[in-house]
Amino acid sequence: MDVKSEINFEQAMERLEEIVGKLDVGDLPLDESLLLFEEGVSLARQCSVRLKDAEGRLEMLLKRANGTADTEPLEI
Amino acid sequence: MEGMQILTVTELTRCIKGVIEAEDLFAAVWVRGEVSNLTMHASGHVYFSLKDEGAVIRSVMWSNVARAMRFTLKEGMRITALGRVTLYEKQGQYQLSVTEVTPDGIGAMYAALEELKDKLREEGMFDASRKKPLPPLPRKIAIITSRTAAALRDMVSIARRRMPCVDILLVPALMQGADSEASVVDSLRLADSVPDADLIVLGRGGGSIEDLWTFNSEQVVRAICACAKPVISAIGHETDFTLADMAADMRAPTPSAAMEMALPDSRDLLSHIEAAVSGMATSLRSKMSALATRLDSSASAPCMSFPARMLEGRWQRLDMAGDRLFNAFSQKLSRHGSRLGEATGRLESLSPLGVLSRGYTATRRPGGELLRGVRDVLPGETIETLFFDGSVLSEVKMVKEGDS
Repeated sequence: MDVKSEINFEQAMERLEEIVGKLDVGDLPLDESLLLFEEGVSLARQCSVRLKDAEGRLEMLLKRANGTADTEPLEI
Repeated sequence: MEGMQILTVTELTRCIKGVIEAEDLFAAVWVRGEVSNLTMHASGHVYFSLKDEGAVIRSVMWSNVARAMRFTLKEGMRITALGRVTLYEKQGQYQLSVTEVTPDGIGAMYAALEELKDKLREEGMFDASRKKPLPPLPRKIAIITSRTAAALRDMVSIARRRMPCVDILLVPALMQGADSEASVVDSLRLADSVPDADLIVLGRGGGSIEDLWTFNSEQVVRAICACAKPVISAIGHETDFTLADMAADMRAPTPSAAMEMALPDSRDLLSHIEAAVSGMATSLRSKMSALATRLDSSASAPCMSFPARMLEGRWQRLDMAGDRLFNAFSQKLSRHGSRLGEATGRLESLSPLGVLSRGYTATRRPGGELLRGVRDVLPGETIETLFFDGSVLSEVKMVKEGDS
């Protein structure tokens, strides 16, 4: 899921740039321009929400004697 | 005593000094021995004794030589030293003034390293083709280092500054000493098995060449190559180059630099997005005003007095679409920071606001193109009517052409 969503972020940014470029040329019909604009705004929103996610977790992996692993919060 | 030549202590010492320091006698001797009584003076000069089973000789390494050393002298270390023998008059003691040191066995160590490097290279372990790309925006980074490393604190603080939302998982390992090889290999396997981590950073600060030698181990190289996730290696300082660095998908000069490679700066990305939004708004605004100009000139032509009503309707629909986009956009974005909000604010000039709130509606295919006239609609079709406060989906019962 993560790999997919990272690719999506990259793709969303590329698509956003593509839309900016298309709108900048300005030779598209208005309907199409509006749809592109709507798409671009939605992409910008998705990307900025992703970047402004709450602060991530800081954890440490602990090896158990039986070979399994656990995590516990880490203080730096 | 009369008639005998009497020397002062100083004179005698100087005579001996002259003999010992005579140019071609002990000016450049290689001596092998064990380091003892090691003192690192605050001035940077290093004092120690070189000894073997039968004798001991005082030695000194001046700070300029000590600073240029690639490794650190340790008590008990067996070395081969190059130096010249001098005499220190104040203590009446001869000493070896050391200009170059090689740890015994280091020549063999380096030879073995070169051999291993060639072998692993032939196996393709360092091939560019097997390097994995770094994730553009990692969600979780597994950091392999010592729990107490200063490098850990540096890496975490750089991550927090650049991309606060990233998760960090420390996979602790011994980063030096006899057990470090097994520990690093184990931690690499563990880190690679964490399902949601998408990048591994192997980092430790600078140290002596012996401290870093773990990262020249064949097992560590193989463990790095076996990782399914991309690995950034950041071992020691810029000038330290290990086999681990060559095996990793990316080599960073320092642990801090590794985090800068791993994470884009979220502030840069946000301003990039902001610029994209305002760029789109500018394009659309100029498109709309160009259309408005054309509409005005067409509508004002006498022959267009009747069809102009249809164009007016179209203009209203455009206004409405712009409003709706702006409203949806600003509602969603205002929650996410004022800088983006400012950019979106520029969209307000796109069209006169509030057309819909004055009671106009517009109609389109659900989520799609605006309907320009009754010819665009077929009975039975579902259409979406947009109001200022929402929309209605309806099914078309009948289509009548001409004035209603």
